[in-house]
Amino acid sequence: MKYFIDTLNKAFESRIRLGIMSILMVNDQVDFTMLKDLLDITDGNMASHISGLEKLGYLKVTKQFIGKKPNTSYAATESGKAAFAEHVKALEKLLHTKL
Amino acid sequence: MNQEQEQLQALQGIKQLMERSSKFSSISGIAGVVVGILATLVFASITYFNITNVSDLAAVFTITLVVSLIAGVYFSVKKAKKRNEKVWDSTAKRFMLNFFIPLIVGGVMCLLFAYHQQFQFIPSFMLVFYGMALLNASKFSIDTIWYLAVLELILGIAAAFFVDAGLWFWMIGFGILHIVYGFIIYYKYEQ
Repeated sequence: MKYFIDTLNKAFESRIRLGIMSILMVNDQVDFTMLKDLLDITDGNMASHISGLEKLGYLKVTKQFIGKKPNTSYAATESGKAAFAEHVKALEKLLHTKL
Repeated sequence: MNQEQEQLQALQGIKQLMERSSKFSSISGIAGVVVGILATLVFASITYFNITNVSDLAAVFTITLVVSLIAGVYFSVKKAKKRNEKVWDSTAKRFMLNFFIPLIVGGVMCLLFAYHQQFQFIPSFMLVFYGMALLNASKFSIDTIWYLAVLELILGIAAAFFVDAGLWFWMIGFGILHIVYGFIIYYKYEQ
């Protein structure tokens, strides 16, 4: 029992971080507004979670201009994807051992 | 809430977000039924009034296509609004791009065949290119679309084999299948 709980990644304890990574797993590039709309959170809240994930090396930030508008988009890194997959597997295992 | 429920909810949340962020789900079952009925009526009037004049047929098919597209957009927008979702998001854009490229190529091919007085394969081409368009776009939408696409493709091939009955296959593909799948989508996703 203890073992499974240990494999749950602390970085994904927050529901918002888990949400951000879920979206990035199935989309190559996602911009700030789309993430915000899907998760329904404020700019500041999102920025802090994003920078947290970026520091861990789980996502990559790309800043560019589309016309004159600045646009920030995000993509999951390989290690981010691996960490997320591991976390989901641990969640599933935890459920199975209990059921 | 206990931990077990929390875990389960987290997993469900992950699945939901993955689907919502990558799949265009505003496809409307009602639109399918409306388009299907329209196509069946078009087939009935072509056979009943025995329309064989090329320009008349071209006009009928063009009007059918335009009305169908308008119905598709109208009911999708309505569905998205009802579910409080953005209509024109990136999943919709991806879906449309992948749907319209094969469809436009198919439309142009049909017009070119008509221009060269080759009419017999046009119903088959319409079915095949529409099937390809759906197949291509199905990756970005609900799974049901994939099955509809495969059936359209089978009908398209059959229509090319039994060329004399081409219009019958057209009616089955655009009429009956749309009505059936419209109901399936409605009951599966809109209840």
